[in-house]
Amino acid sequence: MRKRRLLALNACVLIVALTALSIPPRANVAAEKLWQGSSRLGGYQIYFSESLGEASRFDRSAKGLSRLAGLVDLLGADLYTLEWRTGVPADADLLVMAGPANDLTADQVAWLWAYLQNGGRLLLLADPPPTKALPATSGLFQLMWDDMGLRGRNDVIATEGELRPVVPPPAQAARDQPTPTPLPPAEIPALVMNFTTTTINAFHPIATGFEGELAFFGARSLEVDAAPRESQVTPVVYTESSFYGESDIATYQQFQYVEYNIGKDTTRGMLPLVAAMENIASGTRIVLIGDREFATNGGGFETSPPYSGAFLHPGNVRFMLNAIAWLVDAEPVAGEVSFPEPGPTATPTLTPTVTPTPLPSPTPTAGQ
Amino acid sequence: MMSGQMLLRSLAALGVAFLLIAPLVPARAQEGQPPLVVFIEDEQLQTSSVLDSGPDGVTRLEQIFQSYGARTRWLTLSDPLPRDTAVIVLVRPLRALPADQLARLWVQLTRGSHLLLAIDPSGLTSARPDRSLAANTDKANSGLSILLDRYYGIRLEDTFLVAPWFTHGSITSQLTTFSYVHAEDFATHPVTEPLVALRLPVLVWGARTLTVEPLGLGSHAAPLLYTLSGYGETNTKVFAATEPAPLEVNLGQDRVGRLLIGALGENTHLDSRVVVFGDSEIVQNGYGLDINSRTQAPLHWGNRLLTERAVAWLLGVPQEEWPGLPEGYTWLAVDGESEDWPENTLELEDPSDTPIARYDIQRVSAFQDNGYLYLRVETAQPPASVVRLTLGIENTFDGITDVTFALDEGQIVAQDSTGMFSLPDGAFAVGDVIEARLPLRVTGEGGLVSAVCLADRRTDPSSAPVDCTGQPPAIVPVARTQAPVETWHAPMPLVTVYSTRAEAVNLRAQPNTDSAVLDVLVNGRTLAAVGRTESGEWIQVQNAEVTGWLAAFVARANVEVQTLPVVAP
Repeated sequence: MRKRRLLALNACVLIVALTALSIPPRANVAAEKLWQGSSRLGGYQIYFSESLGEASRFDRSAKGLSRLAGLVDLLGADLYTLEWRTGVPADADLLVMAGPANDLTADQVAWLWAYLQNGGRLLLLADPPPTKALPATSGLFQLMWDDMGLRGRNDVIATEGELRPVVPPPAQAARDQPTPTPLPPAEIPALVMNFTTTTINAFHPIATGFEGELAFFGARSLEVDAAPRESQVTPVVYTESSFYGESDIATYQQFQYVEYNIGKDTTRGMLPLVAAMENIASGTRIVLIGDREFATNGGGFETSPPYSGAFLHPGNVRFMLNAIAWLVDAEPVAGEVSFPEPGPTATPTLTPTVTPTPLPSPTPTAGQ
Repeated sequence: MMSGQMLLRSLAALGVAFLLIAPLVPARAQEGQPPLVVFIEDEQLQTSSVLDSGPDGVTRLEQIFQSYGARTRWLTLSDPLPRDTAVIVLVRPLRALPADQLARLWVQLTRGSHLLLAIDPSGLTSARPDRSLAANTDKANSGLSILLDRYYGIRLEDTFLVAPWFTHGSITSQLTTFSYVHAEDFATHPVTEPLVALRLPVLVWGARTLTVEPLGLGSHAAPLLYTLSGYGETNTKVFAATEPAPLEVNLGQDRVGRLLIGALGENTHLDSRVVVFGDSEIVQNGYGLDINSRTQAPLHWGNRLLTERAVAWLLGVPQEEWPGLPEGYTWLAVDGESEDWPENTLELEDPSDTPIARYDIQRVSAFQDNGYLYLRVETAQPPASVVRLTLGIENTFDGITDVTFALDEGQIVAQDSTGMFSLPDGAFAVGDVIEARLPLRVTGEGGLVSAVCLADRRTDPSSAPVDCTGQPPAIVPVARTQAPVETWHAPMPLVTVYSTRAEAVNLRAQPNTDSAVLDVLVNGRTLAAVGRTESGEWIQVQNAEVTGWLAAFVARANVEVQTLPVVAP
């Protein structure tokens, strides 16, 4: 009887031990670390713009920004939605514009520019064409380029993938001329626009404590003039050197036809994907990311299993938290948090897999 | 003891600190520095230029700013404006401000700069050949309009001010779209006080209307200029070269009633002020700020005073230093109050000779300047509001009254040997005293005031008055001053002198070049058009001083000349 009890006790201990061992140890660490870091953004007033079709912090779908907002909330920040009619409040520590789908109106540009010129902080995720928001040569980007040396280009970062036969788009007939003969199919490469990169400027505070790779899902390249000036711009994340900026993505989407046009497309090389601007005199800081999905639930913040804390791209998550911390002048957060390992997922493998999907939305993950 | 290296480091640190702090100095002029006024010059926007001393330029506006001690410079909106900019001047942007330029403007307003904006309506084609394209200015829903509305309570409207006499012909050119607007007298702002007191009109050439919301969050606004005549046309197809839309009021669409043409606003949160004119010509050299080339005196005192006082308000000049009419001009409001009457006037005493004290004349005062005869009548008690004043004027010293006047609060009528006619440019007011203003072209110069009588206007005009002065006719003394209102500003057909060959043209006594020259009129001078010859080659014009004939080819009328009545020479 006593032996039986001992065996039962040993069995219980074994079960408990096995159970304990079966729990992913990082989950406990993550929760603890997140909790410890919860005051890191405490007291900061962060405003989210949503009226221009940006990803919403209330949206839990793949297009939404709820996971980023949840983490920032967990770190103690106070979150608000921006009311454009009253402009950016004086107590705002940061304005987040997560991929406006509609361009800012002239008065909104004026409001935003006044906010920035007077020491405002902006986290801007700007999608590439065909999104019509934030064209490179007018409005906000025109101002940013003129005064700060930073803007998004009107291109989509891509590299060539596998070849497949494509019928070239029909040539336009000149007036009073006969319609040109259709061209025969040609071997044209598919474009790879979803990719990861590890080319990160480790000297910038945003990259402090950062390890791993960053995932992008159809990004525009950034034009950066890092020459010394009052507003200092620093590229933080680059592509690998095989990428270029496709300037005519509409033709590609319609005909699957593409060619690299020197002088028109953005020159192949390490193209800036993320840049940070700081004006010490005014206190202005901007982080510009050329991809809205970098931070959406179905993009850079995708999890597996769905609706868990196991991020597929933890680098994106840590990077975003660090970017926000730098923008509000708080200590870096990335080193303080860790996440459970993600489970198996239907998410497409990144570079160099070809993903000729329409831009800018990433392929939705099954179950989300 | 501090080593040399430490000292150098400290100095370097101080230098860096200074460089970092220096840009944080807030907007507005630094202490002791004259305020900086920036004129926006932009070829794309086709703004009126401070470098242009011609009719379209704004050099006279710049001189007004400089007269208050301001520094002026011109800049584009392609670059950030200086932080110490006190006032930004944007006149006649013929294109809507792009978002980036609006942002630069707005940044500076949020830093406490002020703005003077004079902006034309869309659709109107300028008379100048290098501006043949129609104006496409900021609309009511533009960024500029939205910001002005939300932060200052002033909004642009998509309208074109159409005076009753406008035709499709007259609206093809800036020069023939002129009309008079008036200083807001419902709640007068100090900026327009003298304009209200003197009933000085402001001349506009193709204006747009504004909306003004006096109270708002952190802001207050005040209308400055209004007009009751005409309407705000919202259909730009009225400017179409072929098959233009009719110039008619579409109720529910067009603006009618009291139309606002100018306004000012202040945002207390931003500590920023704006003045908005719905017409750029108000402040342009050859229009509102034009001068008489002989006397160098302003042609349009309403425009001049409005601009001078608006500039003073924007620059924060103490109100007691704001300009009024300068020496040499009559400063007399016809309002029934006698505080502003000058000394050395004709004084006719009249004893108490009627029991009805409110009609019992005690004293009559009169004088005349170069344009008007002014009359004041004091009664034993404040006069009745229903009083009618009649007086006679004798010019030929033959004991026969040449012209008689009957004035009450309803109308002013004159009668001479040619018959009876009304005088829309006369003035009459009953208050503590009775005051009247009559144009010299009708009273004659150097005349004698004969009988002055008071009666109840409700009685038959042919019945005996209640009281009359019993003294013989007396000569009205002449004050060596000018009337500030040179022209007849009733809503009616007008002409502006416009000669491409000479700076000035002759006003003739008869419609031919052999007749006497009554006056020499400089380009830009505006007069009432009262008739024409049968052929239409001559237009009969008049103002407070004179009636004469002007050759039609040197005049720009705001109506078809052939619609004017034929008048016998």
